[in-house]
Amino acid sequence: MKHCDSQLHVTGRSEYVDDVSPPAGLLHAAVFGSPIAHGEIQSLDTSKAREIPGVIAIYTFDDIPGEAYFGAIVQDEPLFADNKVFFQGQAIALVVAETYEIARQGVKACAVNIDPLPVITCPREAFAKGELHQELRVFEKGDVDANWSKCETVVEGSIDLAGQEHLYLETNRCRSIPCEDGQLKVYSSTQSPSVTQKTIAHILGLPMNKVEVDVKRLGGGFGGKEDQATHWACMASLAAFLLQKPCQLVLSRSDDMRMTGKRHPYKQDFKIGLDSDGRILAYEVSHYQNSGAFMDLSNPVLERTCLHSTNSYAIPHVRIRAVPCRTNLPSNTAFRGFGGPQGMFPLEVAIEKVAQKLSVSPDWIQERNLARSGYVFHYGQELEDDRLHRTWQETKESFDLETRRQAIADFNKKHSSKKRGLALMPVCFGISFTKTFLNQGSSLVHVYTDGTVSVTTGGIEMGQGVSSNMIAICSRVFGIPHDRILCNSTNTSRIANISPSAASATSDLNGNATIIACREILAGMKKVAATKLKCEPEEVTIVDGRVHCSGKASELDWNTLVLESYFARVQLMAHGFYTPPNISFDPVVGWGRPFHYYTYGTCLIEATVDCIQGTYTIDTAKLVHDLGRGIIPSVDLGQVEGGLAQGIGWVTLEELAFSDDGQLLSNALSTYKCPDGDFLPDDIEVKFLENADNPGGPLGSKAVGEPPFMYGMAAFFAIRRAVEAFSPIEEEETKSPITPEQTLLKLYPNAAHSLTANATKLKK
Amino acid sequence: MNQTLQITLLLNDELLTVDVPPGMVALDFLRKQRQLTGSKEGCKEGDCGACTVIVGELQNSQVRYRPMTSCLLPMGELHGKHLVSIEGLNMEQLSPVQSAMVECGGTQCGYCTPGFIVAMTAGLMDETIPLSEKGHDFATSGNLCRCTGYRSIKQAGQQAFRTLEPDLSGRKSRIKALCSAKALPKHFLDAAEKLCCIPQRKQILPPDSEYTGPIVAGGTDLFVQKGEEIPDTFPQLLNQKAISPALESDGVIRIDARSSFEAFARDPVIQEAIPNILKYNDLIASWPIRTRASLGGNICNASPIADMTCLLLALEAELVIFGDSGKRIVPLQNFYLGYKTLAKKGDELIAEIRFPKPKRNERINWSKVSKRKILDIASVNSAAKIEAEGETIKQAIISLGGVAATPLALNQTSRFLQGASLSSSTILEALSVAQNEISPISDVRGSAIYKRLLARQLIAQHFVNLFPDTISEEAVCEALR
Repeated sequence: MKHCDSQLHVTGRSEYVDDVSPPAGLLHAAVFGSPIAHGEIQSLDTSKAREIPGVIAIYTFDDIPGEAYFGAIVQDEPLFADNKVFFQGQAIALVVAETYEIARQGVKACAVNIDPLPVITCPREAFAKGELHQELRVFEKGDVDANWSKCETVVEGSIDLAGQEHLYLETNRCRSIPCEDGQLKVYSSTQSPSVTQKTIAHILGLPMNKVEVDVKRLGGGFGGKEDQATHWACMASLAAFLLQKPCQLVLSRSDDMRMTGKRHPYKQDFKIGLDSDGRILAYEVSHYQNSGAFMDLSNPVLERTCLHSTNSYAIPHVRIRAVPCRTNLPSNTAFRGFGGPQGMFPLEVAIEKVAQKLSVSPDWIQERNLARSGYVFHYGQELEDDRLHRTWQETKESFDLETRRQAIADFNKKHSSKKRGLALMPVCFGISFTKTFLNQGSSLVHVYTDGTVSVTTGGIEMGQGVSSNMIAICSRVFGIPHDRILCNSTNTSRIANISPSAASATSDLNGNATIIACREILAGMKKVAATKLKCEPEEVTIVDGRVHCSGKASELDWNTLVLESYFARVQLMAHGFYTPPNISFDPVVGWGRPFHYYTYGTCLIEATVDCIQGTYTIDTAKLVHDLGRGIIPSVDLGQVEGGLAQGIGWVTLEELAFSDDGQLLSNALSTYKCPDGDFLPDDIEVKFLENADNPGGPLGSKAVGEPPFMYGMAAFFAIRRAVEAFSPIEEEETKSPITPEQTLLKLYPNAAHSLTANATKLKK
Repeated sequence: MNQTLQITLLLNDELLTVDVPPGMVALDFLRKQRQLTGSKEGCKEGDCGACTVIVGELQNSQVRYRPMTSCLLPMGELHGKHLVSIEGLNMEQLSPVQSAMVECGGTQCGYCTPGFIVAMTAGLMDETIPLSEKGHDFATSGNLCRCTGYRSIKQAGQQAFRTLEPDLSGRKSRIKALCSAKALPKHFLDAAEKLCCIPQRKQILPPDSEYTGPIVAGGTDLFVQKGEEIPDTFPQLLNQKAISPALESDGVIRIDARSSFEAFARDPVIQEAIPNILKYNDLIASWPIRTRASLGGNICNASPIADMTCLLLALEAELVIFGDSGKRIVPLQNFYLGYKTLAKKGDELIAEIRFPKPKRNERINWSKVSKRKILDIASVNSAAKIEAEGETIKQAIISLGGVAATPLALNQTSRFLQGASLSSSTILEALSVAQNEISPISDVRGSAIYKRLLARQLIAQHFVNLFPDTISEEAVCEALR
């Protein structure tokens, strides 16, 4: 089986929100955002915009009929600015017009007078000034302070870790249609239909049952539409509700880039201590999270940062300090990995630095410190198997680590202007929402009298293949071909209280719920079959649409059995509900068993640096990944490779640039570069761990969405190793991403310094 | 304003006469006026390829097809042309390109997919593009995907190219063969006939001679900057008239200023003059953008890091400019008065670009460093034309982009190098001279320090690349540390 939408995709026939034929009289909205990052609004002049023929209405804070403030964790964010603006691009007004073009003209005709206030873009500065979304949190294990003196080697350092633009190719959009009795039907590109539904109701002062949110598919989400598709759905719905006309809001790329949050950048300090055997005895890290203007999901993102701060390593003494800092940037938000990558990064830097000091290979330290079965993490959960080790060993062996290492050493000896490097990256990523209550999945399965099946779940199809997985699961549980099954849009009227499609858990939660629903229907049908075939229901199985009795094919087929069941008044639709067992986490004390299980893997990346230009190529990425027993091989492989690609992008090319006054400088695809086909290696090889069924996942599978992202970090270190073969890296702060600029400056530290000194002299 | 223009075009398999604002882009026409929503808007600046279409143009009673990003393509240019969107490639069954994409798992969220399918198909339709991995990569150089990591897409494209190779190789025209192989729908077979029936018309000029609307050639930068305003104007579309190929006479090469980058690089006259031009071209924009972007536009846009301008500066190009007061000739390096300020009056247009055909012993090198190698804007670019006789540099013209308010010819450095010995020590001294000629600023393309350093590296690299027997890479590398 292939991705179920692929035939539609390759013909351009798959429909996204605004591809559906527009309803008569559809209005278009555009957002007027703040031109500056922080200030008090003195006056807003929309008179010129209102004069433009075709402009229908302009809405601001005062037009919100319900509650103006909303937020997933803390309701601290107004839909439109309320006297003050806190980041550049923050919505101040919504212009509604007959066409998209007129709405855009209306936005340009709006003028606002803002008294500027001081702008903070650095989380350290925010921390120093007490600008916090929440107090500092500390996770501790053992006794860090008492153990530094026992360490043979201690290394400290600081990190400036970059954020990342989601760059879903489909920008945020929503179409909202008023229906009878004050109801709204909302087509939104959201990963969280229920949050969208709830927030629209909250903003408009409507009961939730009057708002129906429907999501067919997303043109990419990656976390960016988990909490931040809501704003645009609320705005389109506000206009639709107040005007009682359908309204559509599609963000332009530049609006989407400057108005929505990204992966959180962090500033970090670390200290690591090793004993004489190369074992990490103590590790301390401080995370200053650049949370942006409002809380959004910063708190749970930071929590996962803390949980994954020791990644795959067993460390007896650990202290993790973390604080979400309020800055004048768009509120940063969920992005594949959800804080996990930011947690793992400093420890990898620490290992690199300590390896440099000890003149050993970093993977020697990595390997010595890999956590084994029985290890208890600093938040109380025990590692229950040794698959992490298996992926490490298999990566080393199946990809000939030692041969590659030697080849690189030889290459570097031979070449003066090109250098190569390699790095390994083990990943141990916890699966489950750390907010335990979100771990619930629902599925509604219908079997129609012609034998076809429709399934609706809480899972959002955003390319990751959840629809395909649901079809595959139905197909296997029912024993019928997958072309008899259709996966429907996700809809709040069919499934209530949907958890966001996030945390890699969508197929897990909704797939298990689908199994439950299918089995319930099947139980009734088997009784009908047993009566027909004069056997016991337990003896009935269905294979390829044929009913079998005790393993033998009968004359009864699926279609006939469905019809017979219908006439026998047997239930042919069911709702399945699933929650994973044995998880609990107390966020206050930071202790418990937050994860249903872990997904593991190890990746090896090689890179070549051009020591004249400072440019580089990523040559190979080879990895062993623990997938459990995969559901659809091509879909799973796509998730692994896609995650890897985004991870490589995060640490190499993707550079968010903000000016000191909080303007996004990298505000277009011409200035923000994500990997393309040329940049990513042709030599990508993914091996799945064999004999690795996962009892917790549907059909033995494992969650796969986020963990591969973190493999990409190996690219950062591979490039640095290549640079070090030319010129040793000395730095006060380790900065990501390692762009060609960073690379060249590290290759020629002396020259960079003297060129600048000379240029300054000349100026004088 | 919003004046419309009546045009007749072949849209997929349908001959159509419509009234459209000439500055409306094809993407908006397809999606908003025709409900053809397979072409997607990802960035509306030619940087993602999700809206890629194929445009066919009659040439000697054959239709020549090229890919373009529909978000930057004005409708006013499409009279008499064949506009093909993803819908126009669909058949009853999937094409080999489409089915390879399905089989290889090359589509996830699907938003970029139609653009990839169109670009790959355009690659198959162009006889000059090899039916190999390289050809496929060339064809999809303008397409971004955020989901897959590309391996599966590359595999799909290569599989399709390989499958069709036996049907296509050696064909003068691939269209018929692609139709027979069910890789293109049959409507392509009579496209030429249909286009021939569309009456040609005179160039449409703005209604009022005093009117000063935008002048659009390729529009690849203008639509990025003014995409929201142009549809409301009546732009002067320069590409309505046929563009002539490069000519060489008396040792001077003359190029129609409207020539696209792609046409320029594929011109045999240019390839003889600049042997590596196709390699350079690969590092500039993407295939669909290069089929539109014009040399004259690149010069007039006056970006300090304009790639082609940088190359033309080192070639000592001159501009032939026409205006109300007649014709004049301006050396390219005198054309820039300051940041985005040109020595050109409003009524003037660059008609032609000329440069002396490089002599046999003049060696040319051009290089560029950007964050991403393909479809990115340079942090710094540089070109050099160097003539050496034995151990002596007779002449060295070096240009640099991204280090000043305008594209820069390094005149002091050239003077320093003239007559100097061809040696590592001379080069090192020249690098210092060059540093005094540049004044880079920090921006989103890099810090000032980085640009200074990079400028030094690229100039040094010219010598290493052009005189490998005399200038040792290793020695230069060591000296630069």
